[in-house]
Amino acid sequence: MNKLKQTLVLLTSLISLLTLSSIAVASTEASKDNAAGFVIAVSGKLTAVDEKGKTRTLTRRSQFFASETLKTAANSTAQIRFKDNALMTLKPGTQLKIGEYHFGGSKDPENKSFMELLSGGFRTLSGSIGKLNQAAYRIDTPAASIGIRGTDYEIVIAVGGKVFAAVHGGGIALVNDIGELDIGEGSEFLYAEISPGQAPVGLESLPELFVKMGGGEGKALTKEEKEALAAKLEDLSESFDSTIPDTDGAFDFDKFIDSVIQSGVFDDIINEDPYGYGYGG
Amino acid sequence: MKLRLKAILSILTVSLFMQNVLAEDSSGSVDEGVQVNPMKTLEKLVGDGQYGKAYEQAQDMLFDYEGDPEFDLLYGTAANETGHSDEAVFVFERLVEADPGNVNVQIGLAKAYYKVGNREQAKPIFERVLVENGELSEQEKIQIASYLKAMSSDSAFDKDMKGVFKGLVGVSMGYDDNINTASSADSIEFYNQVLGWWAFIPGIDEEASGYVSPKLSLSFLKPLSEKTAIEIKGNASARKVKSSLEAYDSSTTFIEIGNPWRLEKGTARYAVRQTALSLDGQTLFKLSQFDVAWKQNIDWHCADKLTLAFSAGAMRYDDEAQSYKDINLYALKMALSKQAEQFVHNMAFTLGADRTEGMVTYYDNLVTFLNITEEADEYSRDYVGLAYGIVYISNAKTSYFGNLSVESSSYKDVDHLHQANGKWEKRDGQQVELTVGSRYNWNKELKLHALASAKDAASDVDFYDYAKNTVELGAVYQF
Repeated sequence: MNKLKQTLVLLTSLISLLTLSSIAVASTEASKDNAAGFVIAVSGKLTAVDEKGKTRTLTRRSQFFASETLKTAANSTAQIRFKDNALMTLKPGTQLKIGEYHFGGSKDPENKSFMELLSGGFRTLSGSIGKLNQAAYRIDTPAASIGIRGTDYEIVIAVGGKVFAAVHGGGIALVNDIGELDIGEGSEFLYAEISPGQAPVGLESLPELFVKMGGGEGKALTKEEKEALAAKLEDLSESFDSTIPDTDGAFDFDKFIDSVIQSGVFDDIINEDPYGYGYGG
Repeated sequence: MKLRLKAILSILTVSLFMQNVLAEDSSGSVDEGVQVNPMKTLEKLVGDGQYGKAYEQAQDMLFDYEGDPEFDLLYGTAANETGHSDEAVFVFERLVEADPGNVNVQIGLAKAYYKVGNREQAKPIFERVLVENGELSEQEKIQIASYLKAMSSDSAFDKDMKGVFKGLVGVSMGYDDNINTASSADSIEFYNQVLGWWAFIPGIDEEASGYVSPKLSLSFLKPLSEKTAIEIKGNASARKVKSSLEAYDSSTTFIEIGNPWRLEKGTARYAVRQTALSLDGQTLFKLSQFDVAWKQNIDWHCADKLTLAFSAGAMRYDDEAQSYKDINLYALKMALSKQAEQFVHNMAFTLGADRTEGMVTYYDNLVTFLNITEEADEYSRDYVGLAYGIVYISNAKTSYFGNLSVESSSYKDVDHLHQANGKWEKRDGQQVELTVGSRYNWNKELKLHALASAKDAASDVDFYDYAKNTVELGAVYQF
């Protein structure tokens, strides 16, 4: 009887452990399902504030959720990846509210991504939601709403509330109460600015505040550095021509002459043969 | 017995628990058990230049590894080489944040910016890398300089840029070993109502010939705005040929007026051109031509530049003594090029057509000797060509190149003289040509080249079938 008791106790323990571990796995999976995405990298400080005002610090591989507001500190940047595979770089001093977000697979009709940029800026490469259903994607800013027609773009809110936009691939639609403007593919402009209360305006060149990344941090070359660069390019220029083959499709005269001569058109003249047929071309 | 049962149950319990814990812990790493070490696999794929497979492998590893600098460098490199530079921008931007002094990371970021068309951000990084990093290899320097040159040529129409004058003089000399040559001039042709045209090619000539070819080219480009310019080009070249069977001088001159445009990710250009081709001092061809070409920087796996070009021309051949022909030429060309480290690959696909109408004077020497007949001549040729070229940049002074091209033509010919009802007759032609050579840059102005080419061509419309081997030495001085 004792033997049976002991066996039962052990079996019960076993079942309990199995159940507990299954619950642990299930709860991890569930939290993954609810997450809007995860953090790839943080340089400086990134926090998430939920609807109740509770703040948590995010680090690499931390998850973030719909209804949370992501904040980067001044001089901090972060990269995040959304569940639909969208990538986003948050610029320093950014507050981005992940409003409504749901991704249940590419065929889920409930998919949506509605966010609000409160300050700062970001660059994003849109994921499945923006590509498959453009109506399910929108980002609001203080000056305009951004709808998507493509993949790679950048938004920054400058001091004073002016919003700058740059498209690097695809296109976006900028809409406010005063007017609307498409930039990117199919449009005359790749860049735009929107002042509060005014219609979006297209820009000819990339706004200066977007040029920041890289080894030089956008710092202009000094006079001495420019001279050093020119000297190096001069040295190296001897090899340039051979690196750029002719692909302009221009008429190749030498080949043309060869083909004309070889076609026999000139045979009569070349060989002084009055009986040549000389046709061909 | 009790103890044994306890022990077995305990082991079973612990092993099941551990199995569960492990399953939870490594939900993203199941593949690791199978693939041994995915990072090593990725590293090898990138090292072997198998960027397509490397990119796929990296995609499978994203959840576990994204943000790890070692992984990111491999992932970013694979993305840059497989037409996913928009992703590479994000990868290299975070790598630069983590390690701002890493030259490879900076070059990767600049390349990614360049490939997505963001020249404004690519250029300062390339410039600074070149200025600040003396330890770069020769190949890396050349590569960066090439990117900078490509960017400067794209922005050649700066507002304050004055007109630019360029000139070029060159001379080349070579030797053609024309073997197995036979042409319509050597053949005896006859017509049979049942069998159609027949040609008898009696002999094979070896027309070894030497040639000298001088060339002069002048161009002037004047920017009209930030986006467009006017360009005037003039060109004159001549070729003096001498062999045991033939001796002739040919020359071409042309003048061209072009209007290039700078686009966001490339250039477009259209031009009109007037060309004259002379033989032994007599102008035989006058060609009026319209060309339009569009170049686009792209970010495909196989290419970073796409060129589409269309050319239409009207040409008159008039030898005054015998006949004249009006020839319309059409050609559509698509070319892809890719620069990868020290290599530049170039692939071109051409579709073309010639349409000829004219009057030809026939001296029929087989049916009725000295019977001179003037007949309308209609002639049509459609052709398709494929070419692959490669340039290997050995160092700043020396490069090697190779080019293989094949062309297949389909001819249609109406012979009003010999065929009733002007029946179209279809014939074919093929040619294949291989050229290899080297260029040596003596200094910035003077460039020398040496090449060897082998060509085999045959056509049953003009009854020629020949192979030609050429060697050539040349020099070009640019001023």
